[in-house]
Amino acid sequence: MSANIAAIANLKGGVGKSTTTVMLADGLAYCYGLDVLVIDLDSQANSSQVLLTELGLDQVADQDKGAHELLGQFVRGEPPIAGPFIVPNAVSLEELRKAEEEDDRKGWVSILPSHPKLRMAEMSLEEDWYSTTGTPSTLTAALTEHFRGAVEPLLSLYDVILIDCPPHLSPLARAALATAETFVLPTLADPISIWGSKQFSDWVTEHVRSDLADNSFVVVTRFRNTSLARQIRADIQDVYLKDRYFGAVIPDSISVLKAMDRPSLDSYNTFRGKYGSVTADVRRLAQRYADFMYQRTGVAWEMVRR
Amino acid sequence: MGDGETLGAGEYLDRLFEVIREEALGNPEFAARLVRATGGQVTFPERDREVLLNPVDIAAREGAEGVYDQFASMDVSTLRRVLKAHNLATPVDVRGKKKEDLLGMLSRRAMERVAARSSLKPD
Ligand SMILES: Nc1ncnc2c1ncn2[C@@H]1O[C@H](COP(=O)(O)OP(=O)(O)OP(=O)(O)O)[C@@H](O)[C@H]1O
Ligand SMILES: [Mg+2]
Repeated sequence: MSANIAAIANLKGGVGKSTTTVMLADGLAYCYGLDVLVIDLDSQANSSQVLLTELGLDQVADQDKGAHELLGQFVRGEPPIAGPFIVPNAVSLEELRKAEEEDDRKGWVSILPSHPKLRMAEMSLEEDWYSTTGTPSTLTAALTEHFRGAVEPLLSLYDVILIDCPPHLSPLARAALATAETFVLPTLADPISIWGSKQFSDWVTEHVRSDLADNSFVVVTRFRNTSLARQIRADIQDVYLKDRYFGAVIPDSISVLKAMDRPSLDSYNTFRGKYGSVTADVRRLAQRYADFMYQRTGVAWEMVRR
Repeated sequence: MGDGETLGAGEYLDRLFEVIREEALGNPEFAARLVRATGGQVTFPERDREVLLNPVDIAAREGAEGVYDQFASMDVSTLRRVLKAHNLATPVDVRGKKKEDLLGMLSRRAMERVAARSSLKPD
């Protein structure tokens, strides 16, 4: 087992990166029984908050877990080890919890969470680094090395690693992009978002990954079925992001908002109960990702639940 | 006040308060807000309580015990509905739970939500 590392990324804010991260994590763990690790590198901590709740975020930060601790390790010049900062249980689906309870684990979600503390940690690191002879590029290179080193031992422990990226290109964000093998690119079907998505795609292709197009999985999110939106969606596929793999279309739905509001850290719901009217869309997202991976690697994940 | 009709201050206020009073009697939520604005306690007929009492609101104002007291008279199926309606629990969470467990869950999770979602206030 060697995990596939995917960055869920777009420079444009609010296009559904965090929501897609969570839906993909749940969908892959539920439908394919995969062991998924979410790495939240955005100091907004949205996917962490969704999976662990607000209270849970503070609790795990008190236990010295989280991406800011990994940054602290880098600052202190210690060797890269991410394990101690990971929260092993970020499962909210009843079916997964139950299987685990019956000693028949099929699919699991863990998280290296973020916390608002990450913002200060990043800022002070950048300030220190640039105050000597460091530049953004050298910091990015050093962070990439540390991040890759930290992720390396995790590859044998998980099937999929999903990195929820922030809507900016800080050195840490660039380190994540440089570490990923595949790129999930959520975008809205509106003129500004598709322009932004194309800009981002071009920038990454030029500066980080020349093979981005071949490894991109595009997800149109918050889709409202209007003629304008349909037209724009066609434009994304035929013009703006031509030759990318088109993942799925997630409708604009209150069910998505509800699914992102976990009542409490000890609260569980069934897959269908959690996703309500978008259950089939989340399943399709996972299926399309499995197809995308099969096409790239020839490895077929087996569906274990519907 | 059409057709050049003029009203004295007393008559004007009588009419205004009559409208407010009528609205309050027909709209318990509005009534609750009115009375709360004056710092008073509102009581509701039992059939309105389920829809009107917001556990998170009560947790913020009266604490966990307040939640417990206000909902203690409700039966199991009503408590389940309240928990789900305010997204404090999923159907899985409430399945097979006794009344005491549901009340405990309601007050604990309502307090949790208040703690998590209140913004920092200057002292
Ligand atoms: N399918 C959907 N239907 C309805 N609302 C949605 C949907 N997807 C996302 N949203 C809402 O849109 C907003 C942005 O989503 P999200 O936070 O996932 O985007 P993001 O790209 O991660 O944002 P950021 O750039 O700030 O990290 C959120 O308020 C989210 O709840
Ligand atoms: Mg986000």
